[in-house]
Amino acid sequence: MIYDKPRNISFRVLPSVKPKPKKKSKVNKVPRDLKNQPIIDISSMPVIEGVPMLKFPDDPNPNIIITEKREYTPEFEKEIIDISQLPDIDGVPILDLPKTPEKTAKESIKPTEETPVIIEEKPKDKKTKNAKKEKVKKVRPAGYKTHLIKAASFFVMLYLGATIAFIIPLRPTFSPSEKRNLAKFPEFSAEVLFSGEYFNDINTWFSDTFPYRDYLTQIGTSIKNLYGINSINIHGDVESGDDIPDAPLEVPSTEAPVETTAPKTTEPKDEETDLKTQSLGAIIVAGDAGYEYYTFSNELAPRFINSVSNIKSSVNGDADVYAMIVPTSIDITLNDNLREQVGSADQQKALNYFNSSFRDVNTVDGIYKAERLHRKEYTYFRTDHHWTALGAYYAYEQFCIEKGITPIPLEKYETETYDDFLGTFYSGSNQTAEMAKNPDSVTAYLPYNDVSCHIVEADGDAFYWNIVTDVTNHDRGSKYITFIGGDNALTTITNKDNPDGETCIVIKESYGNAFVPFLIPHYSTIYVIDPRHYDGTLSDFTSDKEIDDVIFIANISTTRNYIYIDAMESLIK
Amino acid sequence: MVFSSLLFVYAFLPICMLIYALARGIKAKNIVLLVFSLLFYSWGEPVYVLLLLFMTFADWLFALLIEKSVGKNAGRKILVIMTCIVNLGIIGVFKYTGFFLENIQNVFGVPSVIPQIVLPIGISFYTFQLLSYVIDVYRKEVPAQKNFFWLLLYSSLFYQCIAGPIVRYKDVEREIHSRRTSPYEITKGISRFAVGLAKKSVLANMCGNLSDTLLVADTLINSNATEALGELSSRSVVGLWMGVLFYMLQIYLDFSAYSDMAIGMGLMVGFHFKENFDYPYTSKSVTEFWRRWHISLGSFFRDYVYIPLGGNRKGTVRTYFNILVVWLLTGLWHGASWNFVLWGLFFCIFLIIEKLFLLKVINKIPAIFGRIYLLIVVFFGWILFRFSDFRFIPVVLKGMFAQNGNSLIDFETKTLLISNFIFLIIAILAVTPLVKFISEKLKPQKDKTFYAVIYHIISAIIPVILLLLSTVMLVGDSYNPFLYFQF
Repeated sequence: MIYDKPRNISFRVLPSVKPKPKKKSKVNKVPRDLKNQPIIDISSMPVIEGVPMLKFPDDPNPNIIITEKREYTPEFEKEIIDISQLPDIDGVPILDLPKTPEKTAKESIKPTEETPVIIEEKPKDKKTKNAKKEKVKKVRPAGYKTHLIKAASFFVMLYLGATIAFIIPLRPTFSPSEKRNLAKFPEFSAEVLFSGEYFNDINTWFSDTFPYRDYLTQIGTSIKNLYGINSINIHGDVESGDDIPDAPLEVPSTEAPVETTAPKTTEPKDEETDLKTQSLGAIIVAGDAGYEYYTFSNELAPRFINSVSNIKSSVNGDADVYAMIVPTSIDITLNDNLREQVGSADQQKALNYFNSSFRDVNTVDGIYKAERLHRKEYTYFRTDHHWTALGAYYAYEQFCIEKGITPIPLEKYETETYDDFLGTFYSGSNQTAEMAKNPDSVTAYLPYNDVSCHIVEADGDAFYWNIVTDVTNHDRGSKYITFIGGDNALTTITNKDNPDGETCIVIKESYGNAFVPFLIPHYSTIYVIDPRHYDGTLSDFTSDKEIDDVIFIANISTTRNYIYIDAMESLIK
Repeated sequence: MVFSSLLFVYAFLPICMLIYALARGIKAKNIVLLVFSLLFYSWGEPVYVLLLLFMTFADWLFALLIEKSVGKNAGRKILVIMTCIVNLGIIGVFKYTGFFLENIQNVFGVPSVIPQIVLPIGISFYTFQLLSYVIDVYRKEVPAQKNFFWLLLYSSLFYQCIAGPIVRYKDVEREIHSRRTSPYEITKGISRFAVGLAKKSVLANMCGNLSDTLLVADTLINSNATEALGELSSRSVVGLWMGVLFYMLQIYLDFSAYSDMAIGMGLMVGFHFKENFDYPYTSKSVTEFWRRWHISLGSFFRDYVYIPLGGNRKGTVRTYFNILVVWLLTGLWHGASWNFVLWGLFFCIFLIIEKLFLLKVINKIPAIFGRIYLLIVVFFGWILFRFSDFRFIPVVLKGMFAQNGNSLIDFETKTLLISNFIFLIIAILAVTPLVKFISEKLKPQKDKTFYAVIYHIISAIIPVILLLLSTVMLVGDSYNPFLYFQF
């Protein structure tokens, strides 16, 4: 507290009275028995911001000094102040000091007409005509203006924010970095109102679609980068997973198809399923590259193995089934030092387990070694969970070895490269700045055959498309779809240069997209099916066709993706 | 609605303050606050707002009747007992039925179906507030409020209705009738509010994320407890210790932030709420801790349970019994689950030990030892508090001493700590009075000097920066309930 110089001012203290709310006049004339009421010298009082503090009379430790007692005379009426009407801080009433302390210092202790501390000062010249118009000169405590400015600056910012928040057109409806439609303003109905859902949804809408959301989130990420040393970051929850069995799976010879208990079966799938929200595991980001954790699931592995093993029997005719399970970048391109410490499951061991447990399948075993051999090349994306076309090529070579055909050399293809690709790891890691500075580029190998590509979508829409689309102007996160137009229910690729060639079905998830174009020279027709979108069974589909090969290709994380496994089980029924 | 949401900060609060400022006269201002408070409550609980109204109405009647029957002591006593039965009965039904029936089911096998009763938000807070009002009227400490709406304002005031502090009617009675503000107080309120908002959105939320990652998230516990148990038992030793540490930070920052915001917003309109937290982690003993943590709850139990039971005036044995009762109730108030009762008991034991001899020891040894002792006690207490499912507690405790076959530290924990160690330091500093101490040292002695001008400019900018920082952090979180929210 700042103690001010003593002032020779005295006034009278009245016992506290219950406040009466209605009075406007600042000085109350209260008739009371004033004999022997003490006069208190406020010059010894502490002040806050220049304003002396008074304690109520029943306070055991008043910081006041009683100087004298006086007889009551009617003149006192003028100077009586009812302190119960005064504003207070923490229960202590505040008095305003007059602005000119020097003057009052000269005054004697005896009360005069001008005696002090009244909020309203009467002008010295008494003009009876203007008697009603009294100049109210408000005496303010020190620092008033400072605090006013401080308060104003905060409120300006608050109301600015509020105004922006209410400019509805500024609110985004889609988040490009998160690849999802943002929350919508809820529909009104009495039901949602009373359940509380209406208000809850408004809350979500308000936050989700806040103007400049993406920009603000980026700033948030940058600030969080200051929380420590962020050369390596982990996003998402790391699961511990199950141990990978040493011996292959054993099944009884008569297998029951998998209609029975599927504890996590989902409802009929939403057509606009955002595949990226389906179990992208925890991501570790080191510098400008991301890697997805892999864990083994005891519960899902047998179901996966059975689905793939049943492909042969569900296809009409006698087709050769090939299974290609592809490792992900965390076991391939992540540097070995880091890889040893990271708690991701051993993919080599898992692949051995799966490959040795499949039945009625030609397993393409060499993929892992091949990718390891070429790991210093640009075989996996840094900002996305997919492999590049080059990575797919090395798997294709292994497929050819297994099938017994000669792979087409890479040099035979012309290429197109699309830059500025920032995929799932970028958005999944809250837009890591290093990735943004060094985005991926998608290189596609253009087919040299005369091909036609016909796509049927899950909702029935059918149209012709290109193998390798120009994605220069596509959204930064979507450039992987350049290959065969993304994941669709059924894609039929016809190689007009090879009319007598074999026919094959490729059952895939998104890893297959970069792989399929390399198959084109070897077949006349390739049917590409994505079980998550295709609504039918393999046996129905092949009932009127002659299929030579069925190639199943998926990355290792799919082996524990229950949505995909559910879809596979419906496909092979 | 929660304070730390964009909707509250940029829609509710500005509109409320604007209309409040435009309203002239205390009556109009109070009506504005009342309408907004009811709106605020209905936002979270559109049906059970009626329960709040009903209880306020009932207690308003009871208080008037008690006041009218001055002199008829028996009658007054019956009335106040009736009030307690009604109030506590309602909170008992909504909050504790499930718990009660579950226990009966475990022992007797019946009933087979336990009804799931929705817990209206804030019921633990406003019930206690109203109860304190009626009892204070009975004790002749405060006159009854004749205007039902002014009482409703007291019980529903959005600053403290949902998550405290538990404000006594006699503390705000005068201010309901007459409030004045000055720019000085408004600025104080603004700083307090901004600090609270930042504490919650920037610090507490992040601590919560880290704690959930290092331990195990509630969402997983609720959806698949067995899997959650498995995850928890595989956590590394360091991970578990740090996880509980972050939880300890989170719960303080979260809860005290809410009180900060309530006090700050109250100051902006002229209410002076009492402090609810006073840097509890700097305490030297459990006794001191409970005078600094959730002060309004502690004083409620002291004034309305401990002292009526006799306090420490009926002999040593009775004193310890009273303490035990108070602490079992305190634990139970926090949640309808045995782990909370155990938590209360845990502190009760330490309090009794301190009363017996430990306090004298603590007062003689250097302060640092008392502080370390307190932090350890509180640290383990929070483990009890964190997990409602009893199976988790031994897993955590064993894991902390590497008895789960878990490693000392793993890569993920190491990475997490390296990328957040500066944040950890900041969060720890936020729990101490360091910032307050520094800001008081830096205050200018004289006005109108160059230093004073710079000081004032910076102190004007800081709340704005905190507001912006909080906004950035809140965009992106679309859901961040306060931990004490389910009370």
